[in-house]
Amino acid sequence: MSVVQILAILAFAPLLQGAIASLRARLSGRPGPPFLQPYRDLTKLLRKAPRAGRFGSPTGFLAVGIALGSSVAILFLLPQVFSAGVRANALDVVALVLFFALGRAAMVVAALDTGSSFSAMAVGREIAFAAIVEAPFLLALLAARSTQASALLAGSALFIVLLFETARVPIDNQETHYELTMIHEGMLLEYAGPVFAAWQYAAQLRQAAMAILVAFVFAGSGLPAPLCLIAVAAAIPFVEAFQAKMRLFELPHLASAATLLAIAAMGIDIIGAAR
Amino acid sequence: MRGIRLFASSLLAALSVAALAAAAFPFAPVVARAPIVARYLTLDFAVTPLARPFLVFLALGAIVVAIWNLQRGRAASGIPLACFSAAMLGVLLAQSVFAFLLSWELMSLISIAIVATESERKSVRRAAFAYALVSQLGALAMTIAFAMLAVHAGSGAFTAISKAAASLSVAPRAGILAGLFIGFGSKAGLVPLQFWLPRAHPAAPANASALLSGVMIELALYALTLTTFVLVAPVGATPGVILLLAGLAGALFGGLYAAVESELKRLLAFSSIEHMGVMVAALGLAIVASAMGYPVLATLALVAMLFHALNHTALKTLLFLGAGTVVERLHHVTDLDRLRGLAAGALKRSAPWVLVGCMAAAALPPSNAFVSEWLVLHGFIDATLSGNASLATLGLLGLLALLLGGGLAAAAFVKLFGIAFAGAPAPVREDERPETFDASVMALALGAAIVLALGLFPLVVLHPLLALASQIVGARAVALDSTFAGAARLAWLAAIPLLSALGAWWYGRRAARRDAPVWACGSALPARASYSATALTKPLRGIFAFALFPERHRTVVPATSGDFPARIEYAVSTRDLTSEAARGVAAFSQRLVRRLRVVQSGRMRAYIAYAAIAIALALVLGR
Repeated sequence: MSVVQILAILAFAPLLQGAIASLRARLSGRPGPPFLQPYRDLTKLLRKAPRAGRFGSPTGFLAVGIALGSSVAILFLLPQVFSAGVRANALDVVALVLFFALGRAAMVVAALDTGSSFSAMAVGREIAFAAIVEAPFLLALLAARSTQASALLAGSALFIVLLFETARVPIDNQETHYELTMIHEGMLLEYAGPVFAAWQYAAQLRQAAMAILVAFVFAGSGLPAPLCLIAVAAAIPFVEAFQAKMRLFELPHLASAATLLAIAAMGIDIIGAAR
Repeated sequence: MRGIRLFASSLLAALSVAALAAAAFPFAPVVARAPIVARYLTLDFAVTPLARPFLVFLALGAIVVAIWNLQRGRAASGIPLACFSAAMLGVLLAQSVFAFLLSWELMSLISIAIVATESERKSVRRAAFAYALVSQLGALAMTIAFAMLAVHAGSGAFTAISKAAASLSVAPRAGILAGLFIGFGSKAGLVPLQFWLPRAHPAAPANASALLSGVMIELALYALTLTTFVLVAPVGATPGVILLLAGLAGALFGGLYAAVESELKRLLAFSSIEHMGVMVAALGLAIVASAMGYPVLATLALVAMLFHALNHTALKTLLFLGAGTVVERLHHVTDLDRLRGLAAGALKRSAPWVLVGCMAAAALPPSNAFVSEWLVLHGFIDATLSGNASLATLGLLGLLALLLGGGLAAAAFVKLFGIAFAGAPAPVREDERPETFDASVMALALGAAIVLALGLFPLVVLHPLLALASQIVGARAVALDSTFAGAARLAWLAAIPLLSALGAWWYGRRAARRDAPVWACGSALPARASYSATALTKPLRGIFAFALFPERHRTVVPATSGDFPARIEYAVSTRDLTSEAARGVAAFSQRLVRRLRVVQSGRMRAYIAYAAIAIALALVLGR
């Protein structure tokens, strides 16, 4: 069962990306790219010849390998959303959080390895926000282990973390290439060809994993997990289409809100368990 | 020169072997009695179970440093380091108050002297003074506490003290614990006694910093564990809560300041405070859990603490020695704002091993600290889900602080490697030879191999540590099978990114270099416009402005002619309130001491009077 889910994510992660992009475009009144556009992009990039960095150090290749590998490792840690008895599964939340951190660290080092100041600018933001969303990430996942009371709070917290992790509006905007504001795209500005394809695919895998985690947490409230997954995937383009990008220095407040929601969820659990 | 170098390194290596041997084959207690007041002034030495893992840590740190020291031009520092290690060995083997205090004080004094090695620099002198001050104040507090313990037990031997501890009443027990916590906590760099550490550890030569940060502060952890689980056991929950909160504060403080620090060795020192915070928080959790009747949780926390201590020794020795290589090859440039591209430039051979160390310090897979951080966090998760409201609150608090501190530490090390090692190398200097695979690279490779081996095969050490921890907690054969199975699973999960990284490297090894310039809006940027470490952490300084108080200083140097200024200089500063408070205390104590100097009149008559008064007091009070 686990293998099926992993293979499904490996196959359909780009589709999720395409669906979100397409839906977002439709919601904002544009025709938008087809659902399968990410597959076309990936195959186009993979046909190009690989290029090493300008200084000939292998750091860029090593980093993309680590990022891809950590994304795959995350898939092994995901809960089984589509099988019965999900709640009974012990979820290794600490390992999940740390493997996400590994992928991020690899991307940050790769971005700094190019020597580009725009990439470094994005890195500064990424490491700052990564540091403050780690706590809500873990706590929200932890609250998912218990009864349904806290699932909605934890799910909302984790959804905010998802927006951070997947570079979505209001945190970041995947569709712009405006150097001064972007985070995720900014770090990969200097990459092209198969290496860039690997970065994109690793990010798509992480996005699918995050969506599954949020669905898993929301499913704790008693809703069926597949429905939750569809709802989460649909919620992302809605937020992107109807929400303006926040000012950079407002973002810590959003992270604090996520932390607060996660603490509240844990608080309900603790009080419930102590009774 | 070469002879001295070899001799010093073999001395250090011999000490390492001695420590390992002591850990492997515990010898019968050795007792030497001093002629006067024999009851208290005995020198007892023995190997206790608790000391054994720490003996291994000492051996590990000493052997790596010994290999690094073999490199040309590092002769002089070897012998003091060997003495320092011998004193640390004494601390671990000491089994009586007098032996312990003697070894501890030797260790402190030698380390103060080592910190002051480069005393021609003013910053080094100040750092050594701050360290000496804290160290001696700590020693004072600890001596008083030990004296109270010994007098209560009627003997200086640790076994007697431990037996008599149960009959201590509340007030002296609290006083003793406070004294010992101050004494050991100051050495461990526990908040708020940590202000000296980020100045003193980097002030020493790198190989000494490796032993200071990699081994000595862990002896403080040993002493804290000894106090709370052996000497004054059982201590109850409150001291555990105090240690836990102090540890969490250390994790947050260390992480935050490491993230915004731009000086290489100081960044590593702040990271030591962070790691020490994690370990002390785990120790606190073990004490609290043990006092509240959760022996399994207490054992888990202790195992996590011991494993993290081992990992910290390995990774911090590696990183400080790496910093030492940077210092030597780049002629004392350790400012991250001025270092770049070392992996492709001056430190081609050392860089991969430093990368392993950075990943470990950030607790990223597949390193050893990843597994131990995972264990520590699992301890706090178990506390949170324990069903006991107060334990759960502590657990939740712990998770919040450890994750935030850990996230910030990760930012610090990503910054360290990304800025100093990745990227465009600086142009090669004329007098520079490319780095070869010499003794210092070999030491780093050994350290990195240990880090990775412990990360991929953690069970090899976890099982012995479990046996020890359950013995210390006093629980009957605790099984942590499911936790250990989880830890073992981490190892093969962590192998996935490792293998895919190797695969990606293999795929790209023949790839042609890219020739297009970096995108800079169409213009070519000069090298000095490359992003600096200070700029990289600007968002962090903004987010944590409430603690860091960042300030920007702008100096405009006017031109002699024309409209534009000749130069505009920017500088960024942050404040450290604990350090400022400490400076206030130091200034006050210096004023006080200046007043007290009156008694040191230099007249012989006065001293005869002092001696007479002292003898009279001793006679009156000693009855």
